[in-house]
Amino acid sequence: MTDNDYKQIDEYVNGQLAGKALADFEAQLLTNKTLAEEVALYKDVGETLTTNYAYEKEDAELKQLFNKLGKDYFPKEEAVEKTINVEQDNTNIVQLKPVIEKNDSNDSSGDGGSSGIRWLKPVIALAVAALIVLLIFQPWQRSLIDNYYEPYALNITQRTGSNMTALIQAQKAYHSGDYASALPVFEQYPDNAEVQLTKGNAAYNLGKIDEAIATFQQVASGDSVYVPAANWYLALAYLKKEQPEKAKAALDNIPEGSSYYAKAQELRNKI
Amino acid sequence: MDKKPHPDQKYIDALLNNDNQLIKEIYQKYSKEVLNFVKKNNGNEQDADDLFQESLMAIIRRARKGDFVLTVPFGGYFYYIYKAKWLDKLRIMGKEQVIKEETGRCNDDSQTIAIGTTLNEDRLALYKKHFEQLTESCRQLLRLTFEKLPRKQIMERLDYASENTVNQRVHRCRGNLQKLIKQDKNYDRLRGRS
Repeated sequence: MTDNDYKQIDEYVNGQLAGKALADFEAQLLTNKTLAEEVALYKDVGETLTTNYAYEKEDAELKQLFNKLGKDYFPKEEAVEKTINVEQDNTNIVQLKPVIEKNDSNDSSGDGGSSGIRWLKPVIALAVAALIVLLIFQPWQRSLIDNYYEPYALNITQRTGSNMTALIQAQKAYHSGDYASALPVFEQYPDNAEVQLTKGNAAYNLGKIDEAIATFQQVASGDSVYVPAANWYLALAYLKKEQPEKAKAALDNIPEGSSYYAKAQELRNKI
Repeated sequence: MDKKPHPDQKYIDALLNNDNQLIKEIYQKYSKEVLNFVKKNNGNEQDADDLFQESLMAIIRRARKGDFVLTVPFGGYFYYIYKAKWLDKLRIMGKEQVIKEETGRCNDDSQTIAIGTTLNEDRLALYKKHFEQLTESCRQLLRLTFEKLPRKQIMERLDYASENTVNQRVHRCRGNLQKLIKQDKNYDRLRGRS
């Protein structure tokens, strides 16, 4: 097939052929199976990719609704979050009170060691306060990111050639949590934005946050369809590095039509 | 096959029109069933939630193509779609792929229509995979054609000299895309089936 053949196919599919040109083309379609197959594929590729790329706004709205309904009908995250908060609250109060009350009762018993314990009280209080700070802030910070972070779901299927077989294997390793095996394979696909996005995720999960940030930045500065996703993961990586302003800036780069928009806004408000 | 729409076509229309009330009804009717199915087959609540969403998106993408009519009850059709998607997921995750399911769900027509929908998803994945392999300028250009932007606007936006130049580039890029797709070993399995 030449460029000119595709010109004719394009005009036919878009209803731009008329009169004799149309009649000739349709006659060819009846006898030329290769041409008929090319036309069918041309049409299907156009229609199928249109259902994916032309509805970003609608898809974002649907995603928002699905997420909302998902929370009601498949309860999980909120319950976990509540449990963590309740545990923290109980830990703070329940652990603090018995320690002090016990010491008080020791004091009033007139025990010889009471003055030592009295002297220890501010130290204990300080230690408990430090514990509270640790319990409250560290897990809270982790859970905010972890509640939002989900590894990118790479879904490459059955490519031909040995390199692709390696990629499929790496994908399998990645999905099973073996990020260390997957990462070097992903590095072999520097021009494939989706694989790079996944590579950033693998680095992120290996604790190589700087490397993850560099990879996400690279994808985010391109013009692929993965730019919003790259900004999303970039924001989470910045949060991991405790750089909230940079995280906010990355979230602000996610356009309104993107499927990441709703949760990006939600996360931004929580930072 | 009879093309008379089943009354449950209302769910398809609701998904296409983002009808919150009817979409909620879909969740009310089928979320428990999907959750039970996923939990029996190596998954949890989050998996069930994701599977539910992805299956609805598969239906929406198929219905957007315009020639889609639901001639069977929604429940059976939906079942075959989420089952196929979950099998795919288990395969990717390298988990056991023996599906434990309720008996008595077999319905040839539902299955046939659902297979059409899952094949449509497979073709989308195939097309996207090769679309990603095109040059950056081809991807940028073709994406705008898939978004149905008129060629004149594409010319202005991408700063081409003329509409004719846009068309020439589109034909070349689309030709390259067709060649890549046709070379894929999955192409023969997926072509001409709907």
